[in-house]
Amino acid sequence: MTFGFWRRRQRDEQLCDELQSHLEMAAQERVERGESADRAAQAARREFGNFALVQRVTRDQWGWTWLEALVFDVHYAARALRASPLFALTAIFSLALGIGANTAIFAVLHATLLRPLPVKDPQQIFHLMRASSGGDFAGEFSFSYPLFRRFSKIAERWGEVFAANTFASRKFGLDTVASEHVAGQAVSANFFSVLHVEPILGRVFEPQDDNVLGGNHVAVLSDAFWMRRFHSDSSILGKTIFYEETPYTVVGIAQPGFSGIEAEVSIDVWVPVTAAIEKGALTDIDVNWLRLLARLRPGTDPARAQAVLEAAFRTHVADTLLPVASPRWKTVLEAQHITVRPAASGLATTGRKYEKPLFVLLAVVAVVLLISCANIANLILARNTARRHEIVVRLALGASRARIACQLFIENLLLSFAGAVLAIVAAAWGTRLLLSLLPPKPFPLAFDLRPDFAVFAFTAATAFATAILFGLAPTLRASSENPEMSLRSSQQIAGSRLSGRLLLTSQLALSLPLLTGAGLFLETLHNLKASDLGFRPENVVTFELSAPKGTSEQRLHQAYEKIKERLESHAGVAVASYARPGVYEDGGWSGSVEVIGRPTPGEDNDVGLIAVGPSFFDAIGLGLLQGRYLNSQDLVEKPPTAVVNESFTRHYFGTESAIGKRIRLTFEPQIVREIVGVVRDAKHYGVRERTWRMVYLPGREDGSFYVRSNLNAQLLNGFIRAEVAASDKILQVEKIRPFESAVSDRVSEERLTAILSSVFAALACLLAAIGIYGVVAFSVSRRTNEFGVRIALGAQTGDIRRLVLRQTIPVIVTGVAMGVALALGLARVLSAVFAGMLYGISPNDVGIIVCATASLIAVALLGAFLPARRAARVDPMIALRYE
Amino acid sequence: MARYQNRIELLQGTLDLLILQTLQWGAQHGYGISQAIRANSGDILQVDTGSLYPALHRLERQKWIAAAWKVSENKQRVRVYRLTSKGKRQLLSERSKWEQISDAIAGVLNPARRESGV
Repeated sequence: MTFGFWRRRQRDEQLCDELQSHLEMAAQERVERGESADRAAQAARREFGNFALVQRVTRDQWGWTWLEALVFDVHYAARALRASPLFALTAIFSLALGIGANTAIFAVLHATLLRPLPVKDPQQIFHLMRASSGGDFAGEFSFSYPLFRRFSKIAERWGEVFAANTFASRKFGLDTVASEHVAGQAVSANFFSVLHVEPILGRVFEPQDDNVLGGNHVAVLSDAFWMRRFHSDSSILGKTIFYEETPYTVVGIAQPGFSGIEAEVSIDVWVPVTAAIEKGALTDIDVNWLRLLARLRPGTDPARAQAVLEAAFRTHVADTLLPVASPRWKTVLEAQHITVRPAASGLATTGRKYEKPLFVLLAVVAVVLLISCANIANLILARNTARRHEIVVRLALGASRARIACQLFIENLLLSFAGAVLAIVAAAWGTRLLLSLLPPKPFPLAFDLRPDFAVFAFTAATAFATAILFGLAPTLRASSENPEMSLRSSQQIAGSRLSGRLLLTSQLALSLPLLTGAGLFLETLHNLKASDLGFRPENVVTFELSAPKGTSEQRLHQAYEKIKERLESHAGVAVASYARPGVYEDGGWSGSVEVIGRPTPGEDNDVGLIAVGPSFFDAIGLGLLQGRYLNSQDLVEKPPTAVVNESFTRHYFGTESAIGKRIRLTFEPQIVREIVGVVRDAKHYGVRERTWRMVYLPGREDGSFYVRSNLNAQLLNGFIRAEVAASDKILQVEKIRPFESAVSDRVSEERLTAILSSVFAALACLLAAIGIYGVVAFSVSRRTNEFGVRIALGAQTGDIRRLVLRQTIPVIVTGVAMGVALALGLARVLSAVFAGMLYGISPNDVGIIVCATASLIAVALLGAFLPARRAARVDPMIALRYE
Repeated sequence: MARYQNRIELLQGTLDLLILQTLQWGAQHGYGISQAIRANSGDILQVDTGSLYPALHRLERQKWIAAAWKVSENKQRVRVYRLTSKGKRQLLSERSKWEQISDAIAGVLNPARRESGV
């Protein structure tokens, strides 16, 4: 644009020169004919005419290019906005909020779910997902190595299958003392070649690195890790590193920018899958630990690939898995299917987990933006009423309606793009805030949050759509002014405020579903938090211990005993114990049970298993119903004992007592355990999980600790670290946190949705209230004169207040009624979406809708009441002099 | 009288035709063009600068003529216009159009002569 202006100025100068040379030549000719220089110059000028006029009419021939016209309009619009800074700032600020919220949610969706992997042709990458959609085991499952091999062979002709398993936190060191942690990924040898990721140094994995008899112990480092940890020193090639206390030789560095196939983890070290796991586990059909992806050759139909793989999976299940599966596991296997899912953005585990809440929130913020559009449209309507005179004069002077509409629209565009620029800044901050609501992971989240083209395009499109939404109606109305009518009475009050009222009604109608939704999500969160877990996670701190490989069981057992003793000796620590697997960790144990001397009541005899230390039940606050808890005497297993829960008792013994009954677990066929206690049912695996039949066994080592105390967390953390170090210095404390947070992390989706939807619903309410306030205040200020007359004639303040309020009642009633209808309609239409998101409440809960309606009416009345009060305080003497 | 004639010249497109025709004899600057038109019309057509320069710039924008800065015999920097090939084609079509119009007008003004078959 500056270039255009510069060229224009140059042309202006040239035109001046050209005309000047004309004058000079004319004068010179006269001189040659014998006139005096003075007279010749004068005559030439006279003949020439108005120099400036000639210059101007000539310049007009150059024409305005559309760009120059646009620049002119933008200048004009900027000047018009500068003239009313309060209006401009209000509009820009509310747009920045609205567009910013949209950008932030989109940016999170983009970073977690949509951003394509930085590899060649990412659209050819697909995720081979093994999942079951219903029942107790709904979710995603991993694959065994034999199943991976089977799939690779089958897919050979139309694609390449590759496998990966991410370990977000792995021990790492340059010698056997592993003091650091890295993010590691075990991958099949074709991982890099299929993704077309090249080494920048050395080599990546090659086919011979994978070997069923135990793969090559070689490692590839990521460029970022190589730079961070080894300062890009190329002498690292060929050196030995210790990964999980096992030596690996570094053979290469992957290309810069590549950090694996999961947006949330930036991988530091890659090792071959065949080297990362014991030989026995590698060929075990029941060790499921791999995630499978594939690059499909161009032209391959994913649906066909899915059909082929599903058939292969069914064969594998029928031939190898079902014959050795327990009845429960059989039903799970039968419910599992293979889905070939486009995975240009990689596995996107976090993104897919929060996909539903994020899309719901995107819809919510879009509605918030709509509501703020209505506010701005109202502001512009009021402003255009004030500017009417200007517009009418311009029309009368011959400006075309199209030109005026165009200029007004450019003003709107300017507003919304100024808002968009602020929005990008606000979104950068909002995105971080949003991600901080996700539960903490044991590794730093590596999401790439830099806004890229997609985010900018989204923001620009939103800004443009916004400008059209809030600007179209006022612009059309303003440009259809009738100059003849309007010029006659410039003071005329804007005739119909119908469009303003319509906007208010729609604002209220849109706010109500948001309030209802927020209410439902808050209630869901509350229900989840208040639901009886069967144990008391308050005042309990949990942590894990890690020991170097090869530490003897005996030593660990002693260390666990010692730590328990030392912690319990502290004043303020009530009890400390441990369990394996940890409660509310990912995954759990299960196994089949057999009751000695009784027929089993059904096919399904799978039970949940936890090996617990002495006083574990006290530590997590799990109540005893009958018999006794497990104690340190039970650890010696003479005689072997167990504790079961209510569900177990009810299933196997009905109303009989379980105490003294004997059971055998299929994984330890030579041991018969006597039931010594019955505890309450507890939800160990998640609030929404069904209650399992549980068997608790005495356990002595290798689990998570649970410490119940009334000390503050920081103090307790200090004690724990000190006591662990004092008990055995080879042990490291990991994942120390309040037990409550481990439990509440299980409801992180619900928490995210509840918090954000409440914030946005509150924002929507506030905007609607501001909208009402603005419209009522505007009409009050227009009617000051009338109110003055009324007061002078004896109207009381209450009368005036009622008069103003009464006029807003129809708007509020219509708006709220439409809102209720909308909320109910949405609840019906979106019941499938809500099904998985709500807990203990139905989407058309009457209580919630009544609450939402009442609070919206209250907020709306407040918005109307403030200007009404001002109207009632009008001093008649001043008011009568008002115009 | 001359001034009156000058206004006739404002008939749409006529000045364009005159300029294009003048430039057919060689490149010329604005002053030269106005002098040539005046001389060739026997002092009847005096082109107003306020019409000439807009026309020149308009024709230049149509790419019928092209402009360049040159130094004249009097060591003066002048902007010189020349006819482009596109302009030559335009000149031909404008000329034939003009001839049709002037024939038609002559016919209207002088019907008898036409009937008598001069």
